[in-house]
Amino acid sequence: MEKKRIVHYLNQFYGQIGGEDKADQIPIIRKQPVGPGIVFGNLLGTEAEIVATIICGDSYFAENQDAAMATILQIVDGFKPDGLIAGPAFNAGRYGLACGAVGETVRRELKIPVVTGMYPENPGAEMYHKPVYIIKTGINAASMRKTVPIMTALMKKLLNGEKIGFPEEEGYIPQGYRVNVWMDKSGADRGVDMLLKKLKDEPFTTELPMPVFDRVNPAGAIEDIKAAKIALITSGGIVPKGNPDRIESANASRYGKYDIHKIDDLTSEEFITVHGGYDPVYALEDPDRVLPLDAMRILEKEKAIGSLFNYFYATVGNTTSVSNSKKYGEAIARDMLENGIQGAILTST
Amino acid sequence: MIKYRCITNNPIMLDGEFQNIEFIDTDILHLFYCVEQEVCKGYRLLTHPLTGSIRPDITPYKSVLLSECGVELDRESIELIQKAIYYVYRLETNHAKPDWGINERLDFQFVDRDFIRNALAIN
Amino acid sequence: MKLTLGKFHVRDIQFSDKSYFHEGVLHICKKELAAHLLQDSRIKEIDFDIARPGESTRIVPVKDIIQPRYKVSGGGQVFPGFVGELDTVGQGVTHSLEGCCVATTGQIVAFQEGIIDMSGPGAKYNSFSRMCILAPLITPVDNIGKHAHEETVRIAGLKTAAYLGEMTKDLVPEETETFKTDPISDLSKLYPGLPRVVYTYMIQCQGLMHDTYVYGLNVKGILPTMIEPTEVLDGAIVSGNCASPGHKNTSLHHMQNPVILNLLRRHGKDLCFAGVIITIESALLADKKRSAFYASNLARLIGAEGAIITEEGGGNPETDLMLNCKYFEANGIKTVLITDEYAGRDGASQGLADVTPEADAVITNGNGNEYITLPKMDKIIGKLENVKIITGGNASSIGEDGSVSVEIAAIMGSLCELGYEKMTTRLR
Repeated sequence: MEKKRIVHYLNQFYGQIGGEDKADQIPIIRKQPVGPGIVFGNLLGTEAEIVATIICGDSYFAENQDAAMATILQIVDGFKPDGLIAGPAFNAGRYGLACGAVGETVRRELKIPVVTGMYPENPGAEMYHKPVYIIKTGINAASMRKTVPIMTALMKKLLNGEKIGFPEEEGYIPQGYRVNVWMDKSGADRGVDMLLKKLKDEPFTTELPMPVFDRVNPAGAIEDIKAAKIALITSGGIVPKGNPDRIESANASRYGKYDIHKIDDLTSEEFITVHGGYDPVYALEDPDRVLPLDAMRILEKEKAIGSLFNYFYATVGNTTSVSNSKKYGEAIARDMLENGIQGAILTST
Repeated sequence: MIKYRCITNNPIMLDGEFQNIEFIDTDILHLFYCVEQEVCKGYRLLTHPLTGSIRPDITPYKSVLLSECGVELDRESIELIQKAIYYVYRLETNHAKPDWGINERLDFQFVDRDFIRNALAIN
Repeated sequence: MKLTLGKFHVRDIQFSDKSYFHEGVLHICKKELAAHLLQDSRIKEIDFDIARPGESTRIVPVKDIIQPRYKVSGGGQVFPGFVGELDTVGQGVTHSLEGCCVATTGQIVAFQEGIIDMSGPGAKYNSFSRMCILAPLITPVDNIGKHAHEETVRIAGLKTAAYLGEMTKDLVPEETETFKTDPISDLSKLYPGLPRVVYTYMIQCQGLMHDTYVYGLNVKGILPTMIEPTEVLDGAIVSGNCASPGHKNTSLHHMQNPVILNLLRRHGKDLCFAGVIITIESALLADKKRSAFYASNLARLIGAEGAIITEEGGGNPETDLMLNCKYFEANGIKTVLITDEYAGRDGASQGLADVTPEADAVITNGNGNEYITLPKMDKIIGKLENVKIITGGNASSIGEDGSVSVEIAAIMGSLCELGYEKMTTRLR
């Protein structure tokens, strides 16, 4: 029986091209398994084989997504594969986003099964868990040994058109679809059983988890707005032209703090947007549309507020992880408190 | 008898039985946005916006009772109206808006009015 | 209280010249039953039909479903306040026709009635498809008001169920089950070391088509109160609720409340069933809060350590459910909530109208938005057209081939939040 054909997508590091220094690698092809692909190949056994590996630098993909995606899709299609494996990416954010994007596009355009692997907090997991099967991995390559067999097993099932079980059985990050199924016991019986477990402090699993609550107590109201020092913050990616801090267009790894004490109005000559998640045309025409500096200056002149802080803070919210966002928020808040700021306007997109 | 404002898109609420009726000829989602605005001004919700058990993507009519006076933003009210907005929005994405005939419309209007009548009869 | 259910298993229903029950077959004299029901002058016309498990039959619209029961001793009669006189029920012996129910149909009251399919894919969504069903088709007098129409159909259904139950009055039950509850004051003495569990029973009461009756009283505006579990088994709680066929509690669901039955059967074994608290789902926010803390105080008063809380309906009742959960947990009473969800056609949305972090133990009875196509049935009891206007149906629900495409919310009892059925949702 002919072996099924798999194409494997890797980044520059796992593709053995180089490290961060080679993150701008354009997509290249190796007509054999590379790196973790060799282990995949062994496990796929007689059923399937990796006929080609596509290696693409994480930065290149992030900064040229449309072009990179088009090229990669064409390459994949050229090999007429039966399935695609991407990564695993563990917790590497750009790599995870690339695996997810490649996986989603290949699945949609070529209609072949795709399996990848990521740590649940990888922004790629947050973004692509619905359209793509993402096997849950550990935080780094230390979990490669455990991950590859699980990814392979799922891929084999998909290639054979077998019914795919629930996340607990197959190991993928829940895709977020609740389906009706029948149990042996009625809801009432399951309810009483669950209560008895809860009363005995025994472990139980709720059938309907509540959404995750992030309770942040709001600060008290500003007593005298006319005397208050207010700052502007944006996650809409407005930065000085040239992007001096090289804030990424997605999955930002930092935020910036920029001097506006001599500026009444942001112009397209001096400021740009680097946010990769919205059509930038109107923001590039007039950056005040995302960071309303002009409006704040008017309020300042009218003495509706005490003063506008001399700096604004900016980052990009596009697929930036919740944990990183928390970090930036806490750091910005500390800086604002040190500068005697009483309130802030935060714009997002 | 409690004092109240009633924001509604149900035309039979204008029949003279109730005080302080503010009729807005719109759909439930937009009616809830209007209620949200009023809650932000400090008016408290007296009834749960999602009265009854007929889904808001099924019935076209809702009446919401708010306090007659508004002073300070009530946290429970703002949370409730926002949850209700989100619920309506989610349910509406499942199917096209139903195009009810006159009999069904009258029935929905009738039941909506009954919720308010019963709510007011309690106190 | 001590109640014995004397059970008779029904394997068929037939129309006959006389009404009697013999060897598993319920013989019904249509004329006699009709005359009995037509004593209510609000009914213009009445007819009856039968649906049996496995038949290619669809009943739509179904308003209420009632189990035939009849008290032969112990005081009072089933459905006190409607059929039975106003007197305490829940003791003695009550005869019960198992595998059988009454499903009222006929002219639709408004739009909240549902579907029962006796075979095909729709049949697995409720237990009624496995019962022999007598369906009274009720046409009220012209120009009857909505409230009167609902009441007329409700009472006719109860009377029919009692009429059927009465056929077993002088017969010996095939099987019996006895339930015993103990006075609260004796519980710690009788069952030391067993966890004390209370059942908090949320019931609808918001207006037309959204009402529930306890001993004949519309529960609008009541404070939470207690009721013996066996009183419920005798039909002390009756449904006037039509809202959303998938998750309203029919009168049968009340009479066969699965939480009550489970707790009664385990009472004294691995738990101590301390009692039932009924509490309402009101449209008024002040009511919701008051009911929640009041119910939690009652539970604390009787020494509850844990509580099962069931919901009825959806939307604003989720606020009651969450408030009850919060107040109970704050009172040191551990809770399990039993509910359902509307997670969207693809199951990808958060399915509750309200949530609270204290709700860490929840049973779900399914996603009501799941969309299915039910095949054409050879026989329709009622009127198929009504599918277009019931919850879960839409203008294009009825296919040219007679198939019906609806959300499962349109199927009677498919999501019953008492936990009557075995369906749940799992996350993919």
